[in-house]
Amino acid sequence: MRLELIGINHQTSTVDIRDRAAMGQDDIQINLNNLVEMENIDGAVILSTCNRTELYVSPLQHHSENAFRSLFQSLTRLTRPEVDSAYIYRDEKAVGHLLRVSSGLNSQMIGEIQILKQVKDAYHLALNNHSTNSILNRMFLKAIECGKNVRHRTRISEGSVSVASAAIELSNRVFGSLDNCNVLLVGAGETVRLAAKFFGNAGVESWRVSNRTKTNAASLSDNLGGNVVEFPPTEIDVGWADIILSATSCSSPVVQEKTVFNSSESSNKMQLFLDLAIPRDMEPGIKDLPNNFLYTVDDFKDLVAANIESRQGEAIRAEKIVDKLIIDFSKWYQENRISPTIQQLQSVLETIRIEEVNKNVGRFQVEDRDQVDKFSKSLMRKVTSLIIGNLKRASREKDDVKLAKALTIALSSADNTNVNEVLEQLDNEFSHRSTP
Amino acid sequence: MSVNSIMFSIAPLMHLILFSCLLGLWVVLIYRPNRSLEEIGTRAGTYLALIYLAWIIGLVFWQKRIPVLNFSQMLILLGALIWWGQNFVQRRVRQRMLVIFPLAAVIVLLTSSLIIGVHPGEVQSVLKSNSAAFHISLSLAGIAFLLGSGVFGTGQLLLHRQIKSRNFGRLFQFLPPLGDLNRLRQIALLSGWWLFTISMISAFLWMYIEASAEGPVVSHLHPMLTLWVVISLSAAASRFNWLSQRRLAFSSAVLALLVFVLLLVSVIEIYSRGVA
Repeated sequence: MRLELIGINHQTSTVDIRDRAAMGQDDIQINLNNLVEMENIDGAVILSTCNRTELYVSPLQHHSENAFRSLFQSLTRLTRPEVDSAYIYRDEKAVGHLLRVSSGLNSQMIGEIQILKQVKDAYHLALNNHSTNSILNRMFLKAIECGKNVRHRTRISEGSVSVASAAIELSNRVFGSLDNCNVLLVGAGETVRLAAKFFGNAGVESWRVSNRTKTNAASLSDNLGGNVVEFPPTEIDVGWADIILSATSCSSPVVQEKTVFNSSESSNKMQLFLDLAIPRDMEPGIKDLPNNFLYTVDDFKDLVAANIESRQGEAIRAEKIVDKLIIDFSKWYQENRISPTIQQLQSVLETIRIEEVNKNVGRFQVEDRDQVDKFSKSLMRKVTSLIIGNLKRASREKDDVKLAKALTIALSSADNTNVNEVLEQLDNEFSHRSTP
Repeated sequence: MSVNSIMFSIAPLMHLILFSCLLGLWVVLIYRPNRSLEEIGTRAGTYLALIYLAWIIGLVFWQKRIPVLNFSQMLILLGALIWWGQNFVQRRVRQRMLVIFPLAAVIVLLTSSLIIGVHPGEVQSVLKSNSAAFHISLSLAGIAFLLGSGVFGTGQLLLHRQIKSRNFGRLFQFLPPLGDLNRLRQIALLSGWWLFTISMISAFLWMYIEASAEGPVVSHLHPMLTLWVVISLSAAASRFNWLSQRRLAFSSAVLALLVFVLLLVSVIEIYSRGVA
């Protein structure tokens, strides 16, 4: 059994192509059922997200590249030239790719955490559909373990990577929990609505909305469960708020330094001013007031850039973790590849043992025959374990000469037609290995 | 190996080694973050707090008194209080950076106590009374809280500076949020004030109950009374928001430093005069 992967992602395809390659849960189930019914496929898993569609299969023999692309095309709504841009990886490279995917190293935004859940879901869907085999099970469990390890042992998923999430991160750094924070929204446009959604998800429940057009302010405040206040905001409203978020299209600042100074003069409380407008909505002097923090879009870009840089640094550490797990898997995989041969070898040796015991059993007293049987079993067990150990080691080291020697030495004195069959099978094994 | 050597030599040395290892682990974690190791570090800290507790209980049973019989034992008790407080806070606020401060403080206190010598030897009579044990224990607990308040205040000042200057480095990432630091600082300061106040009242009672202690205790009380006034002002300013959070943080940090210096001076004074 072998491993193969074909797929497209954000690096190889446009959004349009990715959309047409994407599959819903029902499509995936139908495709998985069709795939495992194919003669050459022992197991399959399909991973389909907004940024990638990947088909993992465990075939009995590797497909030719052309056949594999045709198979992928038949599952998606892609044209042949589009499928030609898909990447194909086999065996250890396929494992390495999946481990990087689950770790977030292959994501559009390095370290994103959603992908690990998507890998888990894809695997569980295939598992429940009985379309996985031992190799795919092992590979996906290793990938999930790898994703968890990378996120636990590095900071690859820490730090916000968009302006809106950076605003939340900063608010959290200032106030801790946002549950008891009062938020004043200045403006009612798309940016403010999006930011309000983020803050709402972070636990904010107390809102005031200040906007030039009252109906828009009322619509937003109704959605949030807040109140509409004067535009521009008064000292009372500014003084009430812990976080003041502004994104209007006004050409001059709507939140004045003097208003802020007067509002906070007696309260001594910390306030966070988030100016997401271009041109600016808040006077720059606000940042010089001792209790206030003023952040603009440019500042958030710096925070986002710092976080991205930090994630890239962590990616180097994550790669080391991934590499180690790839080696672990490869060891198991190499041993697993030789297991049918081992099983057959055990069967051959057992046949030889039984034949020899039956041939010679008449020479012994009846009461000694059990002992002879036990002795032959014990002897064969020792010889077999020696050969199997040697085979596994040779298989792990991919040393075909050693592998051949191990079997030849093991069976050279035997004269049995089954042995010849085993050697023939081994020859086939070697010829497949040498085929790219 | 006698119980004396276990209690007064081996145990402090073992604690010093364990705390140094833990400090090493946390310093590494600042530069090479690893959540699994962080959890191990936190758990190790809890076990260390329990081991420390066992040692203190052992000392109480062995010498039949709270371990405040000499300056060295006071430092050990102070270290224990700081570490138990740290463990309590760690359960509520995830803090990678702040754990370094209490760890370093405990290591300094343990090292000092080892240098001075933990064995009480000839115990001064003024320290043998129950009133003394009560007063000193409460004072040490109050000091531990005030030092904690100073650590949180320092953290607050550092993070405030990072946020103002848009510096998104390790301090920005690893310190607890500013709001949490402020709450912790305030709780520590007010708890320290309560303990210190009760300790002062107990000192007055001690002064009048045990006439033999009057002379030295009165001389010791003057700086402590001044300190109590300063702590009270700081606690009131924090409780009633008289100052901005940054100024309150600064005052807590300065107060912690002052407390430490005054404690040192007053205890050295008591010992250098050879209180009888």
